[in-house]
Amino acid sequence: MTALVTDSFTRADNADLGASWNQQTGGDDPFKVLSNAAAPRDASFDAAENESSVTWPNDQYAQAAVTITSTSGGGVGIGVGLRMASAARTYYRIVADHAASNNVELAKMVAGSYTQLALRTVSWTNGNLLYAEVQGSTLILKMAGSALGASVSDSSIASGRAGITYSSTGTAPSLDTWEGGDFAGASVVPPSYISSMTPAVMRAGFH
Amino acid sequence: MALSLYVLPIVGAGVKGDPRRPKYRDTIFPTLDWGMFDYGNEPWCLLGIVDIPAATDTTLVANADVFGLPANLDQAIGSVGTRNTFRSRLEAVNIPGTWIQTTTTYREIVRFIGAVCQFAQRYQGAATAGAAWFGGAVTLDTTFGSLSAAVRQALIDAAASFGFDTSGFTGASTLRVIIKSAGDQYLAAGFSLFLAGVAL
Repeated sequence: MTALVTDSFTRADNADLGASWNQQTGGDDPFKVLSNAAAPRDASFDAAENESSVTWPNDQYAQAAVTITSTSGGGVGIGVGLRMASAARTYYRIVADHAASNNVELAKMVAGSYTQLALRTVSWTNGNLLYAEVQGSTLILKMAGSALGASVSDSSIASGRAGITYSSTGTAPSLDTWEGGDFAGASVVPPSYISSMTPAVMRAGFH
Repeated sequence: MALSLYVLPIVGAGVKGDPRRPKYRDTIFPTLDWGMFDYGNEPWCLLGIVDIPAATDTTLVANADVFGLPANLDQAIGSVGTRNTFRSRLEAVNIPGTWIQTTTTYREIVRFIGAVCQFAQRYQGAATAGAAWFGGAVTLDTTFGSLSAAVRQALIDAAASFGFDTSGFTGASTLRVIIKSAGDQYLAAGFSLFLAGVAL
């Protein structure tokens, strides 16, 4: 595994995450920077953004430290996205909240049509890393490093970007320390967003 | 962990608050862990439920539109009667089933269902949203040549995206033959079939 892009969201509050984050086309709300984390602009609406600073390989992963206080389950939660289309509401969504059952959802959006692929139950703590990968047609989910047993083969979406997602309506959803990557052995690309570093410093540190 | 497998309808409009999901999820197994393969845009799925209580299983399979697979997938169908039953069950949900023999194992049936679901999903992702294959006058006996040019090309594109041989996608070939071929090629290629954490 190689991280291609990381984002700590450690920067001033802003209605926009930045130039390389793109609001998903087709009905999802955007995210904002709030208290050095990414949060849905309005927790009453679904949100999704894909990251576009690299050319994403088809086989990819994304992870983030997730936080939410909701206990709704059944598809409500904060999390990551895989194979997110650049110009359609098409992506895999992996979200979690703190419901007593069915609190982790794997779903797909295909041209806006929403299908649940799996629901799992796991106890977790705010700040845990929610991880998802897709290789070929196999999607694997992990929470705090442990596999959720929700591995599912799905062949609907063959390519796209990694990103972040949210399914409403939750309470106080946010995510932090996002990372997206691939399964090649390439060297690490410099972080996209380090507000305190100049381009010259970044080039000096990674070559 | 035990995974119980079923073929049953998909319900839901595919929108917020009403996602496409296995029928009876809300009423019979609302708190159990599960995973499914949708049959693309068709209203059927292969569902795996984790550690389903016996009483819940009984309630679920009591529905006429649900059929379950036995716990021991590696046993053969065995009898002509059971063979005919499973042939009919698959054909009724527009999955080719006439290939099943008395020596066919339940695992071979499950893997075949999973494989054709993957092909149907690729078609779903590439073609017009909501464009189901079947319905109206289109059945498994419908020939490739009688389909619209757009559907024919989308079928070829979906198969080609897996690297399948599409030489059999000709005018006289039926959807039964084409879908069977795609399923067989998916299995022959060794592509993954994971459902609810279990390799089928």
